[in-house]
Amino acid sequence: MALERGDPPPPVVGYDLARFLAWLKKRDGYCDYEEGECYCRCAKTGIDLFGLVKEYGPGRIAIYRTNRTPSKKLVKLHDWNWADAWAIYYGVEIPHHRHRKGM
Amino acid sequence: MEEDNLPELPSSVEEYIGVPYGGLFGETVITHVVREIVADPEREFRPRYLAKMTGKSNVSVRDALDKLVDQNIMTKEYMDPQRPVYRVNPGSKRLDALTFLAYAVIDDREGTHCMRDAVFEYCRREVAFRFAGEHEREKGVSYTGASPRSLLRGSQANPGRYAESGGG
Repeated sequence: MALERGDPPPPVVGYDLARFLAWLKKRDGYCDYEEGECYCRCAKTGIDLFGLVKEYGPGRIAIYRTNRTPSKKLVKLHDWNWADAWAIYYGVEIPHHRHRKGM
Repeated sequence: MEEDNLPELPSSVEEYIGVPYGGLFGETVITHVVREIVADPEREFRPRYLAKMTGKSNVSVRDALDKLVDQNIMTKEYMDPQRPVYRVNPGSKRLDALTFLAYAVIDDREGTHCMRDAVFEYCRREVAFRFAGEHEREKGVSYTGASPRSLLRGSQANPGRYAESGGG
């Protein structure tokens, strides 16, 4: 799609991913990989976290392993402006009066 | 990025992971639960899901949820008597404030402007809501909940691979 002037910065993000980015942002910008998978599964987003990093690049969102024992995988948001802009675009930045999704 | 070849998390980041709101309210069960409901306020919550996300027991999560119901931050519904469903009260100003706090934690740490942007969007939405309310009261129609930006533009971005649902 061609972005219009005033649209959020590319790459384009859809509603489900914007909601995931907003979720990540409100959790300090990170989550355990298992938590992220649980969120995506329960919200029925179909998001694959490794696929996400591959598609959007580790400069925007990346997966790390922790130094702790046992080591864990951790998803970390890096591009705050990009995530902010798309979350605002879809109206998922702040609580909303519209209907809520079930699990 | 291959699963077997992941980069190591910078030690500066490891200091703050796992503690809600940068440790401001300690590490109580209710703080973890609040973080989860603030992060995804559109969801219907069940104690089992929150227990999994917070790493706390079902019983302690249920107690925390009941406290939030008492505080009128959440509502509890019994569609199935054995499995109550909890929803956020979308009119709760404390929920809005906690959302801003979540962004403020990031801003203080990263030097970003997430809270400023969220406050700006909040104000725009409140203005649009009031305007739409007055306008629609005149016309006798109800507010649909669209964001101010989409109200102004009347169109949505083309959903990419990760956004097929088209909105909540």
